[in-house]
Order: sequence, then C-alpha cells, then structure tokens
Amino acid sequence: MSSEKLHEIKKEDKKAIKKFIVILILSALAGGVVGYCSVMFKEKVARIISESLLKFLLGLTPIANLILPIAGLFFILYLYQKSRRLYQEWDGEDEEEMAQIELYLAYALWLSSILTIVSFFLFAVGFYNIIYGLDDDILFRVIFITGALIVSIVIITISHQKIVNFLKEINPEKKGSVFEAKFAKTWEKSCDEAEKLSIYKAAYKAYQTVNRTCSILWLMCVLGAMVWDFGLLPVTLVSVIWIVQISSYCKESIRLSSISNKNY
Amino acid sequence: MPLYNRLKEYRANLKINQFELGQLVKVSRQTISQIERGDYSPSVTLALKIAKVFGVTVEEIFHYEEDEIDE
Repeated sequence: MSSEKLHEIKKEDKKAIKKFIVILILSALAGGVVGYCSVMFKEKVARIISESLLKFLLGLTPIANLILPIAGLFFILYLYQKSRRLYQEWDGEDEEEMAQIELYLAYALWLSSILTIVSFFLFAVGFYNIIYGLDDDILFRVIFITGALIVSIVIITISHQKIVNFLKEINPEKKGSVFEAKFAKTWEKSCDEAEKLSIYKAAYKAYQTVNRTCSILWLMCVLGAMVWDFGLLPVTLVSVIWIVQISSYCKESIRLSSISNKNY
Repeated sequence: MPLYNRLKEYRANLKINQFELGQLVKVSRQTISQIERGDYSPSVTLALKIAKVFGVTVEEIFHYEEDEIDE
C-alpha cells in the first residue's frame, strides 16, 4: 500500500475519532446520570411504573387475546379488498396504480407479521396472569387463552395465504406456498435479480436496526436489573440475540466472500 | 451512476407490454418497469438477454453518461 493511501487512512481516522470520543464521553455521562436517577427514584417511581405496566398488561388479557387479532384481520381484509378492486380495474400498464396495489399488500403482510408476534406475547401474558393472578377460574382462562392463540394463528395464516396467492396472481413467476416449511427460500429463489437486491437491502437495514435496538434493550435490562430486580435473564437473552444476529451476519459474509474468491 | 435506456421505445416498436417482455427475459414486470424508469441498472446478463429479444446490441438500448460530479 502506498504511503499516500496510508496517510489518507490515518487522516480519516483522526477526523472521526474526535467525534467518537466526544460521543463516548457524553454517553458515559448520560448513562451515569440515568443510572444514578434510577437508583435514587427506585422506591418511588420504579414501583409505580412496574405496577402500572403489570396492571395494564394483565388487564388486557384474556379479552385482548381474541379482540386484537380479529381487529387486525379487519384491517388486513380492508387492504386486501382494496388491492383486489384496484387490480380488477388496472389497465396492465399504469405503473402508479400497480405500485399502490403492491403497497397495500405490503402493509397487509407487515400487519399480519406484527399480529403473529403480538398474539404470542399476549399468550405469554395471559399465562402469567393465570399463574400469578388472583382469578379462581383458571381452567376457563387456560382454555380461552389457548383457544384464542389457535384462532389468531389460523386467522393470520389464512390472511397471509390470501395475500401471497394474490401476489402470485400479479407475478406468475413467483413460487411457494405459505404452508410449506421452506416457503421463504422457495419464494426468494423465484425472485429476479432486482427483487433479490431489494430483499437484501431491506435485510441489511433490519440488521442495522436490530443492532441499535439490542444496545437500547441492553441498557434497559441493566437498569431493570438494578431498579426492578429483573435478575440477569433479560440481559442474557438480549445478549444472546445480539450475538446470534452479528455472528450469523459475519458467518454468511465470510461464506459469500470465500465463494466469490473461488469463482475468481 | 446514470444509465439511460430506450427500452420503452423498443418495447413499443415490438408491441409488447412490460409483463410480456419480463416473461421473455425471465424477470418480473416490476423489474422491467424499474429499468425503464432508470431506477434499476440491469446486470450484464439481463442487459444481453434484453438486447437479444430486440435483435440489437446492448449499446443501442443502454448508454451511460458521466455526471459532472463523476468527472
């Protein structure tokens, strides 16, 4: 490497390191202040917040376990029907109209994915309520919550299937059924180069977002351990997710790099 | 890196729509649309396939012009 290039590298580092050190110091100070305040207000504010949150979540179940997925389904159906109507009227060339159809379907898929996770979350909250709540009618709650989860999953899976099948109508080259185990892989294989590029760009953005989220969650778990006696399980889980995310990315990068080296 | 193209013009000459062209070169209608708008630059393989459909060279459909910034 030329000395000019080395000089350029050092110059770039020198420029960025000042800002990096300032951010590091400010973050440490902010962390110290937040930590201090958390400990100081542990008795007063922490108890109120944790009790209110618990009350809110336990109050939601078991009704929300059924109501939320059904409400979500109405939105998904609305978007699906709107897309269908627009597609029937589409002249085969209007790009803006097709973009609108695909946007509605993308939002419907997004909503169905969020609903899946929310359903699982509410299931966990519901069972927590059963174990630690004061309700006597435990059998009814167990049956209701389990039934609500099954109903949610069925509703979400069927709506997912409808949307995917509609996308396959619009794009006949697409392959894969939502009921098959390797649906994501089959779908990806049937995508062309431009669609694959979009998928990969979106995945990288998700990777960056999860990295940032993990760092925030780590901070919350550390504070939670000090203020709300979370214990070490939450921070351990966040760390595991973080390591798995980064390691799977790095491992795949290395594998792809070695493939391209072999071809070259 | 602007890659200009006359894809829409050639497609109109052949009287085929985006979907039909997509089927011929094994990509989606959406990709053809993105190429025509200049939102996506096709790979060399895809550009060659497109040129073959119209019976012309790649340079007759696609051309690249330097930006002032690039210079």
